[in-house]
Amino acid sequence: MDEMMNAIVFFWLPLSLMPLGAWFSLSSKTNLRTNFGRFAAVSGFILVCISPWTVPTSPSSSIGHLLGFIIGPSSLLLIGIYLLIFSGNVPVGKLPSSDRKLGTFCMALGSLWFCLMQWGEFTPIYDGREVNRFWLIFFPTFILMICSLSSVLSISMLIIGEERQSESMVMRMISIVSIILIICGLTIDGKNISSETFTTYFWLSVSDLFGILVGVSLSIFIFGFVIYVYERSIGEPNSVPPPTPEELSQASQKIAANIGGAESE
Amino acid sequence: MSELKQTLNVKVLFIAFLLPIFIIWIIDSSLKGDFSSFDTNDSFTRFANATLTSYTLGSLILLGNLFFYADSRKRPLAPLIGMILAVLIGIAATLFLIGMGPMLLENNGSVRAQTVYNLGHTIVSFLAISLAMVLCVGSMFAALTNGKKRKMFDEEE
Repeated sequence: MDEMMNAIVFFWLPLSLMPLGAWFSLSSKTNLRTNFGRFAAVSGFILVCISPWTVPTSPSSSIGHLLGFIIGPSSLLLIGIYLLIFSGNVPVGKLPSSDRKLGTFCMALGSLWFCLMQWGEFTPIYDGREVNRFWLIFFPTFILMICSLSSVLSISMLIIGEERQSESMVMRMISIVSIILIICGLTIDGKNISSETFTTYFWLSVSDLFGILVGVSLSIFIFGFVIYVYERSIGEPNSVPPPTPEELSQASQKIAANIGGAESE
Repeated sequence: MSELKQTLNVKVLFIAFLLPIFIIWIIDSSLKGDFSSFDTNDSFTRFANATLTSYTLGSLILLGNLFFYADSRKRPLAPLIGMILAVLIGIAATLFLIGMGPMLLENNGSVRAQTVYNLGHTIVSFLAISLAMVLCVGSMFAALTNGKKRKMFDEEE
């Protein structure tokens, strides 16, 4: 097989299996098809993660390499968030309040891990030579999005919620910490990534973020337009004839049989 | 909520989204002593590539979503053809604009290499954005559920 075919079979095909499998498992009503969808998604994920070994010559396999590196801290952050949410005042599925400490620990460890990947020894080095170029895209975009989104959520809690100043303050603090981390990236050299490299990729990620927002908004607009045009073309639905006296009387009987209930003493 | 207040709120939220970026820009410029930390040509190229690729990928995902819509109708073909056309326009525009010359090529030698790079780049960006969104919304819920318990209604006497 030539290089391109290898990349298609061992990287792009498994990568497309992930969303397809997820879509299949979500849309299927039978257990067999749901399980098949899950199996396809998980197999795709594993094959993408091992792509640096199966297709080492393809530049795309750096994505698999990145996935393998970020799965640890990302899982810690997600588990931490889950524990923090469900150890609080939730009506269902409440976890013991001691899990809050574990959740905070997981969040701190996950964040520290990401910081060590940027400034310390844990940087994803691809093929033992250079920093994985997709890490240089992932980290600035990730931290920039956290920074802007937590700022939006902080303000939205003040606008929509009532007496949510303390919760809004938490989100504002997350935004400020993210700004500090970005400033650190822009000024402090890491073991493997210089501040100049981070600066270049950070401002590119700002352009990238706006480009993605415009592109996704455009596709949603087109989707809405297509549905709107189709719905307009099918015309008014046929009117249903009014109910007959027999149907009305049957409905009254049903309603009478189902309302009321035993008087409380 | 009045329409004016709603429009105002959207504007405030948009400013809240941009504010941290402006703060970072001002601090970075002050620390480095100039306002040219980013290259406008490279930024435009990235913006254009990200727009084209995310439009095409977004349309492709929404095309899949049409199957759920079709379940609630009598499986109409018209919207399906409309969305396939939208995806094809996205692919054609991407290939045409990249093929025009060095304007949209980022250190990649050919149209194919740039297209594959764009796909990979957008997938990684989507991943970063999704993870950040989950964490931010999760943090908001964590802040809400860990606050003091609120009494929603006065209990009946």
